[in-house]
Amino acid sequence: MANIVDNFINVPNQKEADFWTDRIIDHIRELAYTGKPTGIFNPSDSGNRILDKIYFKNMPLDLRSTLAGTEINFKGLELSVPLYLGDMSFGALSGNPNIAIARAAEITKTFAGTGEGGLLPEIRDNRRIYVQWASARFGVDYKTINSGSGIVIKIGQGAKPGIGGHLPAGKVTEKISRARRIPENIDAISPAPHHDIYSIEDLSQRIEALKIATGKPVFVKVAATNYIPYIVTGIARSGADGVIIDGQGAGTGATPEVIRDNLGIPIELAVASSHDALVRENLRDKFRIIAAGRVTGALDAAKLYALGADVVSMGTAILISMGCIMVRKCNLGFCPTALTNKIDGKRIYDVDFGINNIVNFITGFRLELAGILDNLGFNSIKELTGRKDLLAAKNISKGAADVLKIHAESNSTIMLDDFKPNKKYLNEIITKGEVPITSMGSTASPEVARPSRIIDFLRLDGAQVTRPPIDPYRENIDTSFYLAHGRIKIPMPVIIDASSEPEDVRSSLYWASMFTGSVIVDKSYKKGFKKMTILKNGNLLVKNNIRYGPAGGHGLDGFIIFPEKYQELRLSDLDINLKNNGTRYNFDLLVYLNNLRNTGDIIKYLALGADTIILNGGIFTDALNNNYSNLNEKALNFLIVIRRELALIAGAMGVSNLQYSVTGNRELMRGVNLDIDIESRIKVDEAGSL
Amino acid sequence: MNYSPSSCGLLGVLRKIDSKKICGNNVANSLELIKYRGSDKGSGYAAFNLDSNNYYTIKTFFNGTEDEIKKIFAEKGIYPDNVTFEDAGNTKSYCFNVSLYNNEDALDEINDELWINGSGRIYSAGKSLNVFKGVGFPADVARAFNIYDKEADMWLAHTRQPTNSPGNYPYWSHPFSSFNIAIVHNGDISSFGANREFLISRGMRSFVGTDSEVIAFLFRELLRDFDLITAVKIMSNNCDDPVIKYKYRGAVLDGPYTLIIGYDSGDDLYMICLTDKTKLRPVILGSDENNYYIASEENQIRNINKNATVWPMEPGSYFIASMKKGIISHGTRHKITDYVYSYNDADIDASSVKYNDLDSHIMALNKHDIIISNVLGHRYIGMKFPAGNKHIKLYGNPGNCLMNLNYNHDVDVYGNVADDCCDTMTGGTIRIHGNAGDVFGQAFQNGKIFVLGNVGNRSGLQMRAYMDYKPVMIINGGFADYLGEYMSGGIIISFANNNAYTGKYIGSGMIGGKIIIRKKINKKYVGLQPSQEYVRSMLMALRKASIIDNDFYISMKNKNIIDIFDKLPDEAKKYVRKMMSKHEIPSYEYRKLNQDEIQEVRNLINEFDSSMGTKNIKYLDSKFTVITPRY
Repeated sequence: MANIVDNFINVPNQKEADFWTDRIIDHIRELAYTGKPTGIFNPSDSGNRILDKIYFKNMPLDLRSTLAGTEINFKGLELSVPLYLGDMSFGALSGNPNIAIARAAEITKTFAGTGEGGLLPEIRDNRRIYVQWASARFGVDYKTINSGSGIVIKIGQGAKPGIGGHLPAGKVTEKISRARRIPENIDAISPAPHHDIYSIEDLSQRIEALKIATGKPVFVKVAATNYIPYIVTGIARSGADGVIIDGQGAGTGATPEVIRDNLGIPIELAVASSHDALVRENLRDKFRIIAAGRVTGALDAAKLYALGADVVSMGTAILISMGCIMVRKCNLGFCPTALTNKIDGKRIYDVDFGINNIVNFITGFRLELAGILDNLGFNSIKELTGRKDLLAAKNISKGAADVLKIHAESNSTIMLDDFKPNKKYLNEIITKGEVPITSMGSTASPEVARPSRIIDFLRLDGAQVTRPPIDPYRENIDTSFYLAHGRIKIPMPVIIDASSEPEDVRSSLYWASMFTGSVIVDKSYKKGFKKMTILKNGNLLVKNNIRYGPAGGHGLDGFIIFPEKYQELRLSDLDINLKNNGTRYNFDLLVYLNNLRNTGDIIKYLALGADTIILNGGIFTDALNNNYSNLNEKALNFLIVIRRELALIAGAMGVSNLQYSVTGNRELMRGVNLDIDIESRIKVDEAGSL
Repeated sequence: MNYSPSSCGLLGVLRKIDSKKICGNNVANSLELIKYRGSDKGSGYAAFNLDSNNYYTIKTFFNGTEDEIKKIFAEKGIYPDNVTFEDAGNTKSYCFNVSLYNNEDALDEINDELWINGSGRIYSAGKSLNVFKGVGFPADVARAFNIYDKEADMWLAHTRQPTNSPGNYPYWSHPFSSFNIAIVHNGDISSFGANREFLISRGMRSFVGTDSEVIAFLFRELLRDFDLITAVKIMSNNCDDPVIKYKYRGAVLDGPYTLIIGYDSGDDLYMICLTDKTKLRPVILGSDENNYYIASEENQIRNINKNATVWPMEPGSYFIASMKKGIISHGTRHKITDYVYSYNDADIDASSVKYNDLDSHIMALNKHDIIISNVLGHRYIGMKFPAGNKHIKLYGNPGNCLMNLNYNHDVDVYGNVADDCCDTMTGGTIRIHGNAGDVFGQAFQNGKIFVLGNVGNRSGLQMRAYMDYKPVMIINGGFADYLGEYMSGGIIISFANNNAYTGKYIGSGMIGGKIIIRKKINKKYVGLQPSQEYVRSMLMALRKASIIDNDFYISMKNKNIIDIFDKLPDEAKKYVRKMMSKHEIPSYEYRKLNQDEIQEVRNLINEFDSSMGTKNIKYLDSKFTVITPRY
């Protein structure tokens, strides 16, 4: 007998700080339960997004009336409110939730994206859906693309810029096989890039082809990444009807944690600068912007409209309204709320419960939005898009204010907390030996996790339309590095310093380094491993005739930058100075790290000029949590997962060779709300800058 | 910071030593043919004439008067005479001839000063080189500079589709040049920031902000230290010397690119083409009795000479032709075969049909059997009538996206087809009596595809079978890299013989289906494998931990992982598997087909032979490389 889920389940206590706080979840649930506005809900009381620091000047925050019109016409669809129910596929969701979302879109006069999961027979005739053309063509044939009233070409997702998808074989049941038009019980893999779209010209060709075939509007969904305003103008020129920009921290059914926490930029910066770029290029008139990523409710939406969005997209919030309790293990298939579980008939989501909740939530959302419009003195939502003049901000960096082009009281002091390692992540790496996968939620610094270093304010680029990502599991990404004038070759730009570790740990690090073909740092030669050891003698590293020491030393092959409070500045200054005097390419810059939040740190140090990172072996020893079993395997897991994650990030950035393309390549980074003096000193632009 | 990845159309033409100079008319018209690849945001031409000058022709965009520009040059000891003026749309361009006596560096200094002050940019300074560029479609710029009447030994041409914003000034139009080097580029260089820092370390101070300009500077810097071929190898990551790789680690290009470089060595002209290692931007090479060609699309070459010999470029390789020495590097290992057909009495003559409108003409005929001649770059054929049972014969060279989503039509193509053919095809038969381009048969899920020649990169990408749907692809020739990548069902057969060129990473990420190749494939080209040096490190560590013994180590240390893996003890497999992800390496056999397989393919091969004029059935009992998923 199947277990039917038709009621809310209590939300468990969150162990880890997450953007989706209990307060936000409670508000969404209240709307879903009552269908009535609760007031102007302000998530910013606890939030650290830039969006949270933005406010409407001269707007009262109490709910007085809900009279203003929220309707718009959107590419032939009359919408009751500019809301898109974002792109959750059949397969990611368990079928009934997909049906509930599509029906709720009809009832509320909004519209929903189907994601890349094909069409369930129950929603094939639904007019208020946008079908998806994505890299794996799941569910696509000439009939599917003619369903619904629009097509989304999905290039990227905010939760995982540059990363493909993978639905494990166990979840590919007969029903999914039919809808996705793929073999049953075999992994369903979405390539990271579209292999027919390697450029804007290719995109424009695909748009033209789809328009010829269907005559429908075509939207392009991209992750918010470094060059987003340029990319969006390119998409506008390529003939698309609009763009869905998906910001950092957006929801997903599965993403590598290291990608979610390092790549992509916030939606508020991306929308503001994309809107401005379109206006400047005279491309804005008929082109529509849908803003996605961490939209919690009407106030977030109102700010995004004012920054330049025509429509906002909600995914996570819709799921929460349907009962999601943020277990964040969608990919494993055991969802207690039956929203994302495996379709095996054991636990079934109740369609009517879903429809009722979504309709209530959207109704409440719409009325809260009308209340905001009333308080702003507007009769219609149409008056709000692009009205940055209504906004101001406090406590944001000058760089962020410049991108937003709104008045802000800038805060230029950089606030650093003490470093706290992410023990769960490190322990998962060494025990499982696989890249940690997560789903839903948003935990990254500087907005959720508190920043403790300059690199915690930096985000990495994601590949996009003009630079396809590379899938490191099936394609070649070179992570090897040459050091010391080509005399040392290591498989990745990470060397472990084992000199201070207990003997058994030290042995395992030696073995793992040998296995991966790397070198290791120690105080003295260890028998049998001679060939690969670099000796540590005080601050000097020596191998045969190769010598590394502190910056400024003479006769060295490279310099070591040791830990200090602003280690990033020391590195970046040295890199820039050596370039300015023309000697940079004769030396290695090695950065010694005592702390590691995740593999993203390594990429950021490389991009600030490091040739290789020396990791204090204590990072590994601490991650053991006093469990000293299977040390060889754990040490190997540690190195292999770091290497895999380096390749994963490189591929997601569209980089096939780490040493050539990342070292000193500051263009691959953007600052989020980082002090402008520091940004200019390390030559990194604020996210969203033109 | 301006950022200008470009998605563009390219053309390069170099004459052979005994031929006449190339008329700009041909070049401009062949570029105009692919104006849909670009936009009105920029276009340009570079003309090289080896014999013309012993002085430098300097061209500068400048927002000021003639007196001001003269003064700026004079301060660096360069005294322009006879300054002429060209109007490049919204920006003024000054042109004059000067002799430079060991003071080329002065031009760099002037360029830095002009750009940093926001007043202009020198965009052409060469003895044989003359760059013409502006804002507009190819024909607009060609008219503005009267390209049609000019002649040259070598032409480079470019139409631009900017993804950056400042499309309104000619600074960002191609070609970019640095003294006797000019380049046109279609790409988005992910190493751009690192390359720019390399140039800064070499003393360069100003950049207009596009990756394309950086490439021109980079090539010039490399030519200061190396010969032409070494410079090309370093830039395209084909250099093997660790010392050079280390020292020039900021000088390698990454990300998608196709690049045409024109270079005047002083006594010869070179036309060079480079692609990234997975050839993410299109390019086709060609030659005829008069010229060498490099183009984004085959139709550009055929527009100049319908009977030219054309061939695809191998991913990650380079093509070099010299005016005096001929072809130095072909850019492919394929045997080059011409597939040129014509038909006189067709139902539709496509020569006057717009590139995206052939479907309307086909549908208007309301006929079952349709013959179309003079197809030249026409795109999206079949997109308006995806389902049906027409029989269409196309003579010529269809452009991209032929028969996408095809459901049950039957199509013959007499000629080569471009990229993205048969995407998401769910039924029917396509026979290509020629070569097929890249990403051929992506997500192909039912029906038959036959090819007489070779196929491009990533053919059969994510082919799949489900329920009673089953796709079959038979290729008479070879293939480029990533054949059957992510494949999850169906069958690919290649009759490439042992001398044919076949690519790397066969079946990478394969999770279903079968690839059968007549050639004995080198195992190292199957899937994505750790390189030999890392295999050896693994074995060393396994020996160190006494998981394998020394004899095993000695016998295996020079082998591929694909040979070693199955022989490893279980404990060793546990560790080695960590180095390979689940879907990286398919299994490999070289053997005769079994009875079930013969049963399955016999009729298909007979059908192939009878429709394509081949005799492959005679190989049915010989040995094949058979590649299937490992798990």
